[in-house]
Amino acid sequence: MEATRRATGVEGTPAVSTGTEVALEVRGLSRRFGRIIAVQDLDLTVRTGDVYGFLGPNGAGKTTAIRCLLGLIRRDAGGVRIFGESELVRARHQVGAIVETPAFHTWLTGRDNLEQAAAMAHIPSSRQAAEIDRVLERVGLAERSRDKAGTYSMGMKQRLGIARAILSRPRLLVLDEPTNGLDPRGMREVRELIRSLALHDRITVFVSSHLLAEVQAICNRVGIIQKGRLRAEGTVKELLEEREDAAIVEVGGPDVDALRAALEGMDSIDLLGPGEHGRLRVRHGEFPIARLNKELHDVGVAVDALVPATRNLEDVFMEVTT
Amino acid sequence: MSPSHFANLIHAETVKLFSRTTARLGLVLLVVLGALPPLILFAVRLGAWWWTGSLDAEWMPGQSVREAFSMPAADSMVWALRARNFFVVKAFLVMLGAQIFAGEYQAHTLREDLLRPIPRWSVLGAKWLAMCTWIAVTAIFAWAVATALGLALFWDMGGDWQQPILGYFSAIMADAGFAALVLLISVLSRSVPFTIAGVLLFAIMDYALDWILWLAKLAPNLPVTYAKEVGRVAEVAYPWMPFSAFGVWRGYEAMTPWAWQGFVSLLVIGLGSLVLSWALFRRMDVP
Repeated sequence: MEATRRATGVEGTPAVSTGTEVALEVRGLSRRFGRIIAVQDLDLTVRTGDVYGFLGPNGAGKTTAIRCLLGLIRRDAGGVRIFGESELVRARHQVGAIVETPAFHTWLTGRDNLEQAAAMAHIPSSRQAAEIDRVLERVGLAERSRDKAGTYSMGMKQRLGIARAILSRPRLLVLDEPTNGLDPRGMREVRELIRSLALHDRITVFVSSHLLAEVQAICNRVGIIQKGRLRAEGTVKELLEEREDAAIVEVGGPDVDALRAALEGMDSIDLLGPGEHGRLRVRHGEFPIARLNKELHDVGVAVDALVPATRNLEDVFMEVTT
Repeated sequence: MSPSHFANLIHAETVKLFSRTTARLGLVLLVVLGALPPLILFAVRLGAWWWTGSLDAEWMPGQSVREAFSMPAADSMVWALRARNFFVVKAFLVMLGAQIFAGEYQAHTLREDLLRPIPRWSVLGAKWLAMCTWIAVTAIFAWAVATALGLALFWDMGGDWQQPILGYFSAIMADAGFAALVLLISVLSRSVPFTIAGVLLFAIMDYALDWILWLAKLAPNLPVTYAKEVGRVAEVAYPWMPFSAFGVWRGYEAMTPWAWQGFVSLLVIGLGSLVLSWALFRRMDVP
């Protein structure tokens, strides 16, 4: 118990280990607003080099958890360590973050905003201009840097936010819904930028989102939160395999109504619902697929597709959060 | 946090404050207000000169136009001080105090600051010191312009320079204390309109207290029980009140001599406001 208290400052919550491989470790994090429990006993582990997707439906507690772990709002309980450091002011030397929509002093230019951030991040004045040029170039805003931030589009603001977040060369980047409010082009740009930061700048990324395809495209590890609690955590591959059901196939044919009627009439087959490309999703269990094909043929229903159902993160997400 | 990091923070906060329209407008307005008395008097002197045809012509019995419409540089700086401190500087301080804390809280730019590796006390301290810098700059500019105009237009270096200069120093101190109070109300309310309303409410109560104590000081003249005691209490309490603290700069005037109680009270209000602001801010959720 003494060790627990030392590590987290909160009695009764588990101790946080101090492995150098761990970029962010959250143990027993809880926060409530009056009667509403926003985050409850949350445990997370983000390893160095991860692009960690923090998933959850709206109102699941993602943003509250991020605010807590960055020290913007108080924790009721729990401990946070960033690269082994539990004192958040010191830990923030290694962290860049965007929480919701990044906010700027709209009457200042993009560059002026970055100068403000550079002074606060304690970047020496002799290096400030070069660092600002570097990040502006990195996010593709060098040409518009002398324009007032108030004139920037949503996508530009998001990129300026990322520029500000990486200004002090952080080892961990925390991004809360970074593509919120962006058009498809902006979403793609930000996604590519995140991927590139992880790959080329070797920054560990912790990104929250409810856009599952986006997370599946850029993240190697995922945590799913619902009602303030972590429901699943692991690599994307693990989560998909863990819940893979080999006994599900999708059956397609030119006459879907006839196909549906035939499948409903088969005792050994469980019709699950629509699949992809107009196909029907069925659980065949022990019933061999070849026999299923034959029986459908025997009752005069043409089959032009019989494919194993592939699962994606959305399926896992729906299972975990339903 | 190292001293150089804190210095960087103050510099950044000051640059940001001076980039605000309110701060720039306040600086210009306070300088212009300070420059107006010598300019107006000079315009009147030119009119009288044109009217009489000579600066040495008699304007009043025993007084020439030159003597009747003259403003020594010392008087010029006094007028600038009065113009500055006749609610104008306080009005701008309320707006600036509301903008730099409550405004930034509402616009979420305060959150962005707190994502940097800086403790919360330094954010608050830098904001207050930036306001103090603005106060000092406006006072120095208003003083310099008014004095230069007084000298340039009337070329009169007479009068007492020491007391008005002390008045300027005291005004800077009083305004710094007031800025701390505004910051406290801004931290408490976390809303620009509520900060302005809160300071207004405080000012009304302070003004009412001033009147009540001033009337109570007259109580010994009334034929009622305890009148003398009430008068004595009012006499003792008066120089300790906030209105005396924020008005310590008036000590340069012969009628209102310097009162040490006002300075002590100012220190208590200023420091108390800063400590209380920090105590609130360190546990505040900044979403």
